[in-house]
Amino acid sequence: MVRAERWATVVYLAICLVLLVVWLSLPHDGPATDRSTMSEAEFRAGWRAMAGPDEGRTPVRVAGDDIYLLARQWTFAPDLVVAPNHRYRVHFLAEDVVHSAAIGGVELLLWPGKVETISLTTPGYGHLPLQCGEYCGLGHSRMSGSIEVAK
Amino acid sequence: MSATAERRGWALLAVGALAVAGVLALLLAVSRTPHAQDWLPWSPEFFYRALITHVVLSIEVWFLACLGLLSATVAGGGRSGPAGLALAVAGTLLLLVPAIADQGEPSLNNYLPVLQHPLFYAGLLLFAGGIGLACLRLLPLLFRPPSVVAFAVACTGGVYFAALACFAVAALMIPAGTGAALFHERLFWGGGHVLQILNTALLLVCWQVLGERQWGRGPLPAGLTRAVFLSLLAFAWAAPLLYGRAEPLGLEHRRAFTALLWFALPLPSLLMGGGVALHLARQGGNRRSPASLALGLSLLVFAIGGVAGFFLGLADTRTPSHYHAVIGGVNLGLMGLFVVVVLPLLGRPPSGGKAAALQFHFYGWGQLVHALGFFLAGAAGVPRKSLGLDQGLDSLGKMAAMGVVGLGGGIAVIGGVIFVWGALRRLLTREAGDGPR
Ligand SMILES: [Cu+2]
Repeated sequence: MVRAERWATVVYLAICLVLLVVWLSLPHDGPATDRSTMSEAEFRAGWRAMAGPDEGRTPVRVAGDDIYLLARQWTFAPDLVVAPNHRYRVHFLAEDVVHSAAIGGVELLLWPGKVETISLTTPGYGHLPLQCGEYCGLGHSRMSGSIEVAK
Repeated sequence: MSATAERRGWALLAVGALAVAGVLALLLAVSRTPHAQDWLPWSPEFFYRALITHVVLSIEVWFLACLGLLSATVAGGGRSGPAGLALAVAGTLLLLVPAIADQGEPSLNNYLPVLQHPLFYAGLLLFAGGIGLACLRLLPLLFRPPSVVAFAVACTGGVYFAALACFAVAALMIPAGTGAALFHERLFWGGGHVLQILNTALLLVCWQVLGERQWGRGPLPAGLTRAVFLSLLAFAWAAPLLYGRAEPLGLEHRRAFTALLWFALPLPSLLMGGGVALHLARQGGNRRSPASLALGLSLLVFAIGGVAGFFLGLADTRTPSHYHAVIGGVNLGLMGLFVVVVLPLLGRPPSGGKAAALQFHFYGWGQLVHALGFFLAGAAGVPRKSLGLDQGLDSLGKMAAMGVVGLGGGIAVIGGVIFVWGALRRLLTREAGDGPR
């Protein structure tokens, strides 16, 4: 019995050592996202063109292949209607503080003034979930975007 | 100050923090119940302040004062303990001031939410320093432990220093000019995760102590138990190393610490929990003893919280479902520690019988219902950490689920009140053997 206990202890410690080494050597570099080269001015021009004359106060139907979303406390603007099964380049710009965009299974940290871009294909129907994943103030927990997929 | 007086001081700080936190929790539970918010007079800001102070008192102060109490129990005597206690008490009093004065910008960042007020920060620093001072005397026990429990407590103290190291490194590395929200989130992110290792270690210490009382031995063989605590200490001290590989403002940093808990906690919890379950299943007549109840219910609530952990990362109330249940499990273990060991050790044994059992039942089952309600509400789409006004309770299902949250919270509070009331009453009566304070 004592022998079995000693073995159990050794095996346990060995497993923990492996886990520890694996954790410390996990790839700590970021996810492979497209590094955006877009300037803030280009983004703003694109956003204005997409949002239209009422500046995105009503949901915007996206015409081209580019989507522009402004992140600010505590919303993503504007609300969007996008085409199903379509490949888009989604550009994000944080206006006030650091936010993040969790969309399509990846997350981008959004630093104010720096445009981040990701390519994604929309699903056939329904909603494309978009959430802020970085604590950005008291309203953070309800900071989500509205992207509806419709023909 | 005698060792007994110091232990009594830590016990009073721990339970006193719970008493104040409990008053705040009652207000919060009521405010989360549908329609109750209509007749509550306070401003939304005060609720955030109450919530933050409640979290800091009921989690940080309560758990770490229990660590101070354990340190005084396995390594009493000397001057550092009473000095640490004095600092911790002063710090706790200071960090209460902003909430009472309804001041300070609230920040609901993860792990250690803060009120942005100089007195709050000063209170946190004093408190953290006091616990550190008390834990210093534990370090020699790592090398020459007189018992399994002493080694376990020493490892828990070592975990605390790893958390302090993380906070310090983060404070040094985060650039000046970082926005308040991100600053607080990342300042407390790494060390906050290490504190979760500490909370788990505290529960495992309780299981060990209660097991020795109930069955005459711990849940696991002694050697394996030491290995379990050693592994928690090792994982905790791996955490500060990460700061060199993933800078604290990055996304990678955030992910690595989430992963840390998945690597560090399941195996020790499963082993010790499995041991507890086996002993409980095999034990004889005294199933209704406080030790047995505390062991069984803390295991059940903690295990359910662990399972809910698989739904973490969702920005709805399923995250607090995990958090509340896991913390509730640790609380049940510590309640057992107080009732079975701490109070009798201080010459103040609690009255046995049904009253002793009730506190565990109310608190344990209440926490389960509370967590279940949060889980259902989250599945129905209620966002986490929001007040009644922005909960978006637009469907009957969501409202029912949040009603269950309030109901469970209320039941748990009854159990907590019985515990706090009983413990405080016994701690505050002066006994002949107390000696000069
Ligand atoms: Cu956010």
